[in-house]
Amino acid sequence: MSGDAGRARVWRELTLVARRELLVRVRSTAFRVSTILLLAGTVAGIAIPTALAGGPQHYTVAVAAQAPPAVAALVRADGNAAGVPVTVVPAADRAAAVRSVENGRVSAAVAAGGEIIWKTGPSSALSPVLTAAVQQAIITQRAASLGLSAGTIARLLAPVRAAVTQLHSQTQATARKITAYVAVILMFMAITVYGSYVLTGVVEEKSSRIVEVLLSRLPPSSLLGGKIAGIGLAGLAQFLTVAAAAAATLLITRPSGVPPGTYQAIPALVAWFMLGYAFYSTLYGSLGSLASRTEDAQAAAGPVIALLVAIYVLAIVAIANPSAGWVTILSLLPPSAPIIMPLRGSLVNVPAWQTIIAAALMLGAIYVLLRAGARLYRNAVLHTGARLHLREAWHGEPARPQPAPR
Amino acid sequence: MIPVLEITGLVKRYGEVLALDGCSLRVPAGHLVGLLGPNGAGKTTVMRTLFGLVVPDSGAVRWRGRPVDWRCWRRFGYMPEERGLYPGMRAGEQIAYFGRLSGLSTRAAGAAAVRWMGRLGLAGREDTRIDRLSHGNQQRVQLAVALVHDPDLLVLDEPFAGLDPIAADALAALMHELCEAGTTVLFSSHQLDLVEHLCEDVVILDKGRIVLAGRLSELRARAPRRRLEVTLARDAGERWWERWSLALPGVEVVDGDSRRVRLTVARSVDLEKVLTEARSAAEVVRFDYGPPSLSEIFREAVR
Repeated sequence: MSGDAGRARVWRELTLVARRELLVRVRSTAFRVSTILLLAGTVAGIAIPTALAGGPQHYTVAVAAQAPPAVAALVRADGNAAGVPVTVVPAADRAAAVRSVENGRVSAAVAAGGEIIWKTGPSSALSPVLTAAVQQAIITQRAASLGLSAGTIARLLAPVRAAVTQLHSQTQATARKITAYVAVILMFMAITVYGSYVLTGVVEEKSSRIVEVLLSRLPPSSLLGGKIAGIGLAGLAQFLTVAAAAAATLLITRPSGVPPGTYQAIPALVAWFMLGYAFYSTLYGSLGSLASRTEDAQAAAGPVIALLVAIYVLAIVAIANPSAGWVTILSLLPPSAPIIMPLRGSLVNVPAWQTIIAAALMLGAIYVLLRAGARLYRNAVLHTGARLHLREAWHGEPARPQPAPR
Repeated sequence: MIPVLEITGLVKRYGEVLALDGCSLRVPAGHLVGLLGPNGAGKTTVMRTLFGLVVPDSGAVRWRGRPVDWRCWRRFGYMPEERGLYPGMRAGEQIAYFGRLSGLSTRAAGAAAVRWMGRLGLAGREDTRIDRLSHGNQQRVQLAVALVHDPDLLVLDEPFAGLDPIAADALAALMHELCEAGTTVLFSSHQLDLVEHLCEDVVILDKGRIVLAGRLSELRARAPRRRLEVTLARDAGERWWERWSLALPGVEVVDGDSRRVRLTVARSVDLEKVLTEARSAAEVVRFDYGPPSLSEIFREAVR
């Protein structure tokens, strides 16, 4: 009975605090500006390289009237087959075709005898298409002059499908590494930014002394938990907005070379963000309660920042050698799993049991940390004056001068 | 009188410092109680234990006969000495938020915020950000935060600190109204003159212990010493009282000048003798005898 009432009360407190935190963040100018910058950065980051790399570019080719017969149709067909869409425009003669190439209206032209005209040099994408089309047209012409029937010619010239095997795809490995880098940087930034929101939130409540009024109405665990949840939801909303913009940009621009599994990696990244954020924001919040002033906050959170930076450096090293044993171990252990596990996931195949163990360990660590964090927070949050030491906060004693050693 | 609030044997130690040393107190419903004591006596610590903000090493706090828990805290209002508000939040929104935290529905909390803002002279400021309000208005918002859920017990730590005399009078009047409506009010203050006029019940705390508690009129009547002020018609020279005051047992001098002396005297002292002695110096135009003032009781108690 009273247990149910207690749970209902805790839930109510958590949602009230979380709702306030969420609204405060979402309404703040800093949050709106950072969301817009992130959106712009993500869209530009995907769209600009795609545009520069050329991607599926469209070509226009002029075909002079004197060019071998059927060459226009062959250019279109070969272009489509090679994934290079080509529009063919007719030209009255070679001079007209040259003019079109010269003034840039077309990328290349085909003239009498299968001559291919470029402005400066052959384009790597278009050149094989034009060469193949011209060769096919001329061979068809020669075969017809040798008296072969149309059906025989068609059989003779039926496209040859050569099987191609790439033992190690260089471009795809690079793309996977880039994805891994992006995942590591995103995770590191998200945890640091939203975690420090929790840090400043805790210190501001403490330095403005409103915390005493709050704690006369709700327990410290609800206050800390609600704050973490509210800021986390604001962070998640921002993260999801940016992820949706990234997905939309990818769908519209369709860049080549996106490694398989990138889209599926996004939900995993979001899940690991939530676990990592819960872990680190609890650390940030409970250590932040040791500081009394905003100026002391960064010093109080120093150990968390140091830990995150160390993991970040290890993660960058791990990208070069994702199969190493130490990388596997780090990807399973709580403090490093939220960054190293998504990294491994984008580079190698991670067995499901490892993901499950890592997530379970993480959930356990979050539970322990929340309990310990609430205790630290409870003892430290009403203390004012000099920054508390961890040991004092744990034992619930204010800072006192140590007795002189005998 | 059945007490609603009962504090028994509170002990709290911080390292080598004993903040509360067996502090016990009983407050009847609807009473207005002034908690007095020098700095560091433990007033704030006592108030914090009422809300579970400080967990005592031993002792208990009971409300209506049951140990305090969150059910009580929902019905308590607290304004700590160190005031704080969310600076970026709107006044009405902030008051309503605290109402929600104390268990009011969204609608009730919003209505209560408007009602209390009107009552405290903040009507029309609902949408003003806290950091745009004057210092005095911020204090009113803090009071509204403590009152928004119409608490059964209102605890105010130094509520008069920083108030101008008019604001202090308004607060005193409000505290009286609340008590008449049945709210139990416990407040601390250093302004003893104000307390003397405001409340009937006082508790004096010193070094973590309650040294005096009860109805102010009874405390004054019961006080072992009396206040005595003697005024002469003309100057009688430096320290004119010394010749006789030292000779009379139970007489102590507080201060005086060539025409006037303030004394405290034991109740057993023969006033006729004092008057005769004073007359030997000069004609006595005023002989004012009576129970001690609150500040005198206070000084006596925490000596």
